[in-house]
Amino acid sequence: MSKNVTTINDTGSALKKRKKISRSSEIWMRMKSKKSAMIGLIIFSLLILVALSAGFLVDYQDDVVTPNIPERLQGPSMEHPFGTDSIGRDIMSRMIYGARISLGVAFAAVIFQVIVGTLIGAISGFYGGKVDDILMRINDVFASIPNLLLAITIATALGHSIINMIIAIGIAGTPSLVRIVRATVMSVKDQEFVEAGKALGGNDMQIIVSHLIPNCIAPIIVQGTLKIATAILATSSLSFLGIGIKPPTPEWGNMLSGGREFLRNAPYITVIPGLAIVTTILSINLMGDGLRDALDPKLKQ
Amino acid sequence: MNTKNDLILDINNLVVHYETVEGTVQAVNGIDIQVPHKHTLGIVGETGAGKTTTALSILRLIPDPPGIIKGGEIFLEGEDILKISEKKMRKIRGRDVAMIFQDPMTSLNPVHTVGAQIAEVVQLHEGLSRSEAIKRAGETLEMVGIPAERSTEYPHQFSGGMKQRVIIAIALACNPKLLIADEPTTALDVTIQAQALELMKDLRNRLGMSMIMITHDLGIVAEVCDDVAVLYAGRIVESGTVREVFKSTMHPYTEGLFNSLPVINDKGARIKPIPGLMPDPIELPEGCAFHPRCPYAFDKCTKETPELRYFGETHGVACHAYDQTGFKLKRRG
Repeated sequence: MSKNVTTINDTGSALKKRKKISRSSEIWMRMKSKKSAMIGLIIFSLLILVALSAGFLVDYQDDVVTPNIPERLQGPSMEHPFGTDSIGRDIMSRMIYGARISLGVAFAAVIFQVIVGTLIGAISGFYGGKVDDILMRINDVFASIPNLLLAITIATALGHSIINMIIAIGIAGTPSLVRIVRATVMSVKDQEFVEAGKALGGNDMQIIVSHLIPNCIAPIIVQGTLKIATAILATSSLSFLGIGIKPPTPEWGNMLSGGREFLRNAPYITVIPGLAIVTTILSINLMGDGLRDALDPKLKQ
Repeated sequence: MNTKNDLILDINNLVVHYETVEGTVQAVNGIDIQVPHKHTLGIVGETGAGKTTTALSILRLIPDPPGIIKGGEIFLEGEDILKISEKKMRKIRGRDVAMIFQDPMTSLNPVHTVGAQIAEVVQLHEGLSRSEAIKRAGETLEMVGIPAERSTEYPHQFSGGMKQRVIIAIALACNPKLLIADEPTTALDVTIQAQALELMKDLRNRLGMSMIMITHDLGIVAEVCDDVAVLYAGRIVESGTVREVFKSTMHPYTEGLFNSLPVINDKGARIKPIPGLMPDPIELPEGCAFHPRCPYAFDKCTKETPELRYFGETHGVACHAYDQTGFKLKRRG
């Protein structure tokens, strides 16, 4: 090989010795430097941990669903840190199990949104023209109905079940994700590497999957995170209105609803799930904002 | 002349237009190009002369809409690729014909490692398993002078010149028969340009490829190419071997190009640029497209479009001036 090539070889190995910072650790460093984001992340991680270990912490039959009338409406105490509800169940235990349902439904709904939204958005953005027109008009129809109203309609139409609720919340949140993915795809698809991908013999599907979608990951992660907050709120709202999770299954929204009649004598029944919802959403929003700044530092200016 | 069998690429009378709202852009207006096996053809011309459009039509990648291949034939090893199915065409792209794009900064996908990007092509065309493809990617990187260990790195960890090497590696991963390089060195600085060119020349000779080098740099043509075609407003105005076109320039436009270069051993010499601008490809002037800028233009040039006429076996010139007996360019006078 020629002389030039060997010199390049040398610089290549010299570069290798330099300490390398990978992209993910770079993002992590940026995220770590933001206090609010870290607080959000810690609170949210704790919540997930609690939700995952609910089975070890409390006994579902005894603590969560079985009424215990003699101990009804007790205020917070050592035995019941959050008090008991109108039929004597321990609110703390119900909160822990409720976290599982609220977060679980929200996560599933967001996964649904991300998959469907990315697919529709990518196809729409990549093909453009008529395909784009048709998909986006349908999308606009869904986007024009208020999220909660749309979720209520779908949930009522499909009937009560956790799966149907996931679908309802999923569909209601999809349109905005479609728009974001479509916009990102449109900005990426004119770059030269997409053309290069075509010139190397890739078909449309390969180009969408291996070139376009990976370049949309950052906005999808950020939106997905923020959407978990919306989905938790939607889950709770639906349950509060009585078209979501039905008692005795604990869910923050229906616990809130169950405490309404006792608001005067036992406000903690309502206040505690309410606080839990607020804290969760706040922590997710803080985390999501931090994540956005970390993934796209240019946006901050 | 070469017989049909020797040609890897044979383009006949290719016409490509872009139909936009403002009007029809006549990007390529009847081009004939022949590339024999293991030969390198340089396509030279100003921005907007139709160089890239010609290259993209060989891969059938003209953005459609607005681009339309109006007519002509493109034979790749005897097969007219304008008539085959898209599926078959995809097999040809990357395997038989590969292309190197102009800007190494944007030609690589920022979210995949360079190894994965090379492996992708190999997997696509040769049906190798993932691990075999990765191994092959490493070998290909070594071939362009990058240590195989660096295949796990991302494009942003490479410098511009190294990225161009990676792009060359991707293009060569499947041993294409024809490599189209669209201004491969324009975005690089001069020292790196020389390295990249040296590398391409070296690999071309070793792998026995044919190459089309699109450039506006006459120095690169002299360095790398066997034949050269000078493009102006979507037509070939002069073509021939590098020696013919450089030593015995015949077309006024080619003369203008050479006069626009600084002369190294005459320090007092002034650069004589070609006056005026490329015509708007929506409204090409009647007759010879170059006549408004041509110092030798006469009546006929404004009315009739000159055909390519041959002086010697391979040297073609499209200029009416040679109707006049004894006509000579000033440069050669």
